[in-house]
Amino acid sequence: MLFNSPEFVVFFLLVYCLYLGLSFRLQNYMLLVVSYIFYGWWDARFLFLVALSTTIDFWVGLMIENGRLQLRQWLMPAAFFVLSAVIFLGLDWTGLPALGSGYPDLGRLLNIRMLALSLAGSVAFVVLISAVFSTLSRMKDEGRRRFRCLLVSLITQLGLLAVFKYFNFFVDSLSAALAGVGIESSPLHLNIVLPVGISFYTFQSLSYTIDIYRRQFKPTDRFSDFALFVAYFPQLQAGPIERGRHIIPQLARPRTLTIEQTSRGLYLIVLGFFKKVAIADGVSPVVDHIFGSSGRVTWIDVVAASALFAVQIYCDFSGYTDIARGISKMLGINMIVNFNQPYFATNPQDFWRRWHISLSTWLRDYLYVPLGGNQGGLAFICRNLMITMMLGGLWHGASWNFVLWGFYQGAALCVYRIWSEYRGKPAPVVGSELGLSAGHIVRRLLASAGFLIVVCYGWLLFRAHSFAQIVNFTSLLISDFGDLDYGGRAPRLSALFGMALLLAMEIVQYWKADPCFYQRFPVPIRGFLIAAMIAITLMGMSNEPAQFIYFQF
Amino acid sequence: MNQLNLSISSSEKAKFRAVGAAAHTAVWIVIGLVLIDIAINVVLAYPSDPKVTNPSQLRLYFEYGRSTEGQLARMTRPDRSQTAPITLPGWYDTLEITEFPEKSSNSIVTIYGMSHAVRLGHALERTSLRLTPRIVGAPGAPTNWSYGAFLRDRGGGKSRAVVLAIMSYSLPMITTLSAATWSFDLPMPYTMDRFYVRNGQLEVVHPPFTSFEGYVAAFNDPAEWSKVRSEFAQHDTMYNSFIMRANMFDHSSLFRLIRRAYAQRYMRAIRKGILDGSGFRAESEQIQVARAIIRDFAKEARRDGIIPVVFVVNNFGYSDNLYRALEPVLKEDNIPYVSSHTVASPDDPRGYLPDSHFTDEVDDRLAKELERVILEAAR
Repeated sequence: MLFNSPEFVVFFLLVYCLYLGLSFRLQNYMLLVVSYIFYGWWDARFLFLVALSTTIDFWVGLMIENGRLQLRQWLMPAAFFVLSAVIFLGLDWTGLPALGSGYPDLGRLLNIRMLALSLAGSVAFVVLISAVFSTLSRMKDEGRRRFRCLLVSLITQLGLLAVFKYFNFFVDSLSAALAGVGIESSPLHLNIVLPVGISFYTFQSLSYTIDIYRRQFKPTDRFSDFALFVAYFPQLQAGPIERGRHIIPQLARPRTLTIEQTSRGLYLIVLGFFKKVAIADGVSPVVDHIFGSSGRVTWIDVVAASALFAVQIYCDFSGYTDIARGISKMLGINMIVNFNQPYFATNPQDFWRRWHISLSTWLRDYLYVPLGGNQGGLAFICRNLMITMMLGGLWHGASWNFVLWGFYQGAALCVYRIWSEYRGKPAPVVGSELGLSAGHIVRRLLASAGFLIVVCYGWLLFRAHSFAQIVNFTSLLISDFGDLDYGGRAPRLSALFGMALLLAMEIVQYWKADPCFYQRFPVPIRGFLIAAMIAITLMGMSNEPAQFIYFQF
Repeated sequence: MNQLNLSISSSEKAKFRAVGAAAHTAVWIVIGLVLIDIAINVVLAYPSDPKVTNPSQLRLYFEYGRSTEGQLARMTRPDRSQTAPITLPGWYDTLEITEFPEKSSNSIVTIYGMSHAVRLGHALERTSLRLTPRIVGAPGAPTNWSYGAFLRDRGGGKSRAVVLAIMSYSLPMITTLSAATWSFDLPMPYTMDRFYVRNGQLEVVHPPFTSFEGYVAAFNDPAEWSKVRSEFAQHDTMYNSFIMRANMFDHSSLFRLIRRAYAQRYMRAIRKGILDGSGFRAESEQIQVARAIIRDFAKEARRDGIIPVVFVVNNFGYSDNLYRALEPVLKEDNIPYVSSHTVASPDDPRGYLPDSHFTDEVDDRLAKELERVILEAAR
């Protein structure tokens, strides 16, 4: 289900009304059920993967901490897992008609062979994994036991990613490499769809077990809370990648819904829709047209497409995050801030402290630091940066242009690191805008504008559909410099108005260093600002609604 | 009475204050929306003169979402000289025919269809030394309109060949009764025959009016117009009362934006119901009707001793899906055809103008192909 669809509006209104009327525990159960419905709206079969991730990591968390599972801790997840397999894999969901279009085809829905297979397979899996845990629980060396338990989680989550996201990419790359040395091969391909949000929920679940392994967090022994943490619908499909230590305590206690929180939530939802519907969807045809063109493309086309894609991906992704955070706030659950005005960054380090913060901190905590982080010499640090950013690039998709984008970002970070060392200046701290003079802010805005060019070229690498296009567009940027014969389309009117308003809002937010800057305005101005966002969003509603870009990751 | 009961605690006071502040903001949001609505209506007011068809991009933008009836009321005048030009073309009674000086005896080719067909006719005039085009067209005309026009005109009784155009973009409109139900952004009131396939045979339902005068009379008579709407609802697969019916919300520019978004979503949903990733659905009514029309068109033309040709317009972005959907009937009945995908790739924008028509060069090549097909069929 897409946030920007009429079904979601009805869905959320029902969920919210129900939520207000339920007690705290029932709220959690209800949220779990509706989260599965929300995800299953796209494809119910892949809910099995969510259930698998949930079950394994719940057990792993307890096994790392306690070295054993109590019957209650084993039974409930096992039953949940088997039931999930039967429901999500055993039933043929294509037998269900579209909403309101008739009765289900029960003969197709209830496929006895598939039901039996999924039941037998899931029971066998539970027996197998229980045997593994039983063996691990008998290990004397706690350190080794903890590590091996963590390995179970790592193998499961990364295995899911490897199979469902990277398998075809790896075999194709291997085949191409073999062909390069004259060995022809016909690689095996898996004919599978990439499950929406798999990179998000696997990383989120992994952070939980790693935090427990590092003794930074105690596992929950309430399975329903953990299942909700993994599947919580506002962030299930495109993040933010939450941490257990941040969300689970909020799920474990009654929430207080305040009018301030609801107001802020509603503002974030309006802002998110404004960014997505009015701006991102309004510039998307221009970007698609130029990147999809098979005809003549000029320097200004490439510049416009790259710059507009920078706008599109920011408004698309941060718009999704704003809506997710807004919905969550209305439910009394605070999610982490995922974007902090990334295009105001003045250098690569600053950018990664502002862009997709939940991923960059995940990569820092669980990849960069274990690799050695900032310890050691400059060459060692640069190696760590390059590995982290290239894997971060690969996280975005199974394609070499994402790896190249990661390489580019890593190289930018290394260059900046070396330059900082040479100058002996510490990297600027996020939020240091506070208390700066107007002149200082103008200088920093100019620096941001300069760095934005570096960012935009990165987005060209990210958006290009082939390596040949990267080479072609890059050579155009150099050889065709200054050719202003624009062959693209104009952005939609909603995008033009929307970009102007958003830019003004972002500058004020930057100036005030306060994401709630609008609350300082007199009420009529605040009301008018929100009304303007709603009006421009209404203009954007005529745009072809596009899927959120980060769903494909 | 206990003094404590009379006082409100400070936390409750804070709560009331917060609710008050939120309500205050909500009121100002509503005021802001009303002011924006009024400002758009005042600053970008659409001219009341129906002859003004293109006041400015912004004025048009905020006008698009007005109900079809609202737009027709603004555009329509009983007098042909005063009504909006868009209300005049496309009527069966009487057909608008473009003729050219004849190049040689028995060389006339009558082309029925939309603007792509009209452009093909002009290209034929430019490029062919032997064939003389005769064009019967209407803006955006779907194939049921074109076939209805052919049945009324039958090549003008002097054609050597007749060409029926069919286009991927307008295929969903082949089961409609009036252009007013689908030309939402700028409604055209002309009507067309509605064809059904029943027991393998083509059956026709004629529209409630077929001339501009008939339309004006019906539109200005509430009882008659109500009957027309009922007929549209019964026979026109694109009819939607929310899009069609005028109401007080026509005066709100913001509501017009909502209606426009709804209309576009509605049209997209219909389109997606017919066209999926693998092409046009063969079992859809639109494809069934299209195939039956093509078959009957060829039969009727041949009965008159005229060469039937089908001109398949594959729009940019639609691949050759339409050709593939029609190929079985074209091959089975041995009907001569020109499909644009053989001349310009539907996936390459270079063959198309920004307004979705083919470039002049492609039109010329299509005309040459049409000439070749007709001469080959004449042998």
